[in-house]
Amino acid sequence: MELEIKDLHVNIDEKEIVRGVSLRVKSGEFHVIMGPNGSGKSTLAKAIMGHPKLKVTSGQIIAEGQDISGLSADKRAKLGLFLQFQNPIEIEGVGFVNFLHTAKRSIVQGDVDVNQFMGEINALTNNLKITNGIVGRSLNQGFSGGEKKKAEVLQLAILKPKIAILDEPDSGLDIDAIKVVAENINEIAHKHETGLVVITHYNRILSYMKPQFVHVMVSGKIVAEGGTELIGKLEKEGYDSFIPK
Amino acid sequence: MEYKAFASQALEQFKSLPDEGDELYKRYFVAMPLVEMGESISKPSVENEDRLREAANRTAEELRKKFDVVVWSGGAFVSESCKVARLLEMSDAEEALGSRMTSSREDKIAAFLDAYSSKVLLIDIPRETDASLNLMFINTSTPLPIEVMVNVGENSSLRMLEYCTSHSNQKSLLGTMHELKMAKYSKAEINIIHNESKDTNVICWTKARGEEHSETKINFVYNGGSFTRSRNKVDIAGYDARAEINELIVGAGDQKMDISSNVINSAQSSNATLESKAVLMDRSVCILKGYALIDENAAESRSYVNERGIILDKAAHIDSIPSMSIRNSNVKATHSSATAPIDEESIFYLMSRGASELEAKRMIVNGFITGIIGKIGDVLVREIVASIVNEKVTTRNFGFVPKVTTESMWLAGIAHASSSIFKGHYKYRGE
Repeated sequence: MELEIKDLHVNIDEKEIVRGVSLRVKSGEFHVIMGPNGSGKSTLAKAIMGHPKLKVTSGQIIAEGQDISGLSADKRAKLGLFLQFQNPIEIEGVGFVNFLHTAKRSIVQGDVDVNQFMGEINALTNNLKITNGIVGRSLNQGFSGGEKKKAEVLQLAILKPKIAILDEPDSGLDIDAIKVVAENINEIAHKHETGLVVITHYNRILSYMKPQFVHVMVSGKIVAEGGTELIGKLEKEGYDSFIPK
Repeated sequence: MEYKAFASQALEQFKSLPDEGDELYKRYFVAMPLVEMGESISKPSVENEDRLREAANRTAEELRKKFDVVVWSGGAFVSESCKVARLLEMSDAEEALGSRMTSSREDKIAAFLDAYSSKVLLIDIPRETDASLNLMFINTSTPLPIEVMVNVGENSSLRMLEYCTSHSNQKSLLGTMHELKMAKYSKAEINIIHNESKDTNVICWTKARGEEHSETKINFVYNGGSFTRSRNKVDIAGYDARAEINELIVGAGDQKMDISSNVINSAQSSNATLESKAVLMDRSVCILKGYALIDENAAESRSYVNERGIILDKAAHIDSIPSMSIRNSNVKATHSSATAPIDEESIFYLMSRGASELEAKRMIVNGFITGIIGKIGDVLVREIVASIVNEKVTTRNFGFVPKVTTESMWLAGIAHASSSIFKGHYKYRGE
């Protein structure tokens, strides 16, 4: 799958947040978007996934050769896109496992073998070190910050998207948990040839991962692109040197 | 008192009591043509009995439930194997009517039901007996008002389902008056499902009284009817008695619901819970009142009132009004209310995982009502209720037998533990 963002402009209400972003991501590639708070990274991620409150004022989002900017989020998910939420939503009474089973059936558009599915869930719960388990719990309700992030990665592993946008998979995690999450994301992406777009502020998680492309986003625009050398530069100089004077 | 005197007194009360005057009636011009309904009840029923029997059988088959008693205007069926229920003409039920808790004076609707009911269903559970009973009330073009009087004996238990449905597309009425007397150490779970057609007016009156150590649970599902008016009152009158009213209100189209429930702690160490959840779609309207009274004698009692609503469409409206009156300082009591439109972020989250907008809404609604459905003890009744709600959220229609599937049940299994109700509440952080 190839996802191409062409000169995308996105508004929230009347305010322009994303101001002409272009990006091309293929399955199997690993991109990182870094940028200061309020630079529009999360808005870009949500716009790619089709958040109904965001208005694409110009530009295109092209997946599998078609412009998907008019498609609803579920259709984008069925095409193979996935968004890991920075703040996963808690939904009362909706069982996590049952929700994920329903989601999986929607994505594959067919039946999902329950035994195999449960086997996968159990294995992933162990791999991700979700000590309180997932079975019998409501969707993200009562989850700790770390559990929420890990549960998002578990969903990523089960739904096996072609391209996944991970919005701050490391925020709120302790040092050990960052390592666990990073290793699991690496494994999932490697196994299923998933294209990754990781949004993060910090390079700690990246020390466990091997990104190929780094994009720096400031004030709604990509202001620098390159390889991992950009991460070193950011570490040394901060975002200040990328902010237009 | 003789039946004739009883009925004529009730009729007098009905005519003299004022019409409803609160907000729903003023703002939405709701009027229930009770006088006309009463007149049509007096005329002989024109229903085709064979057709109704057939319809009742079909409903039972589709619900996968065996019904012990089926009643419609002008006819009834009582299973031979049913030993605890007797269907009497009002004139033959003078003894039962003489020991009633309800007075025609206290409410216009109660007076109407007393004045026009022609049948009394007497349910008597003897001491130390466990009984289960399924009732079906069918509304036809001839209104059906009926009185249901239940006595649960000492150390006995009753699990009862009451399914109310319609087989008519003419304007009509289904009215039920319930009286439930719970003896010492008795237990009852009464599930009342209203799934009448959009041409039916529904009136419902319930009064219950629990003696020492009794446990009363009444689960109401208000899904059908064009206009529903329900008044429920549970008096927890015995030491260490418990009572729970759970209400699930699902409105669509132009449905209007006026639901008011009271729980009264009138004995020491009594425990009351009133929990209501409303899901409103289209232009439906609900006024939901929950009132708890803790009496002076009810030291060491607990009372909990919680009303919550979820609005799926902008034109739907809910007025949720919880209130409490506490006359003893040595009690634990709390009440709360929260209503909100369905959360768009939640819908987006579920859609981003592949669920369509309708599926996402259905999941959120099902999750929201799980707490109430989980309180229903009978798994098949849970399935029926979950299927009714699913069907309504999907099609916005009601009043027909839903396709009962376990698919609707996948989420209906989490019940509140009553002991945890107060946990974390701001007033009782120490618990």
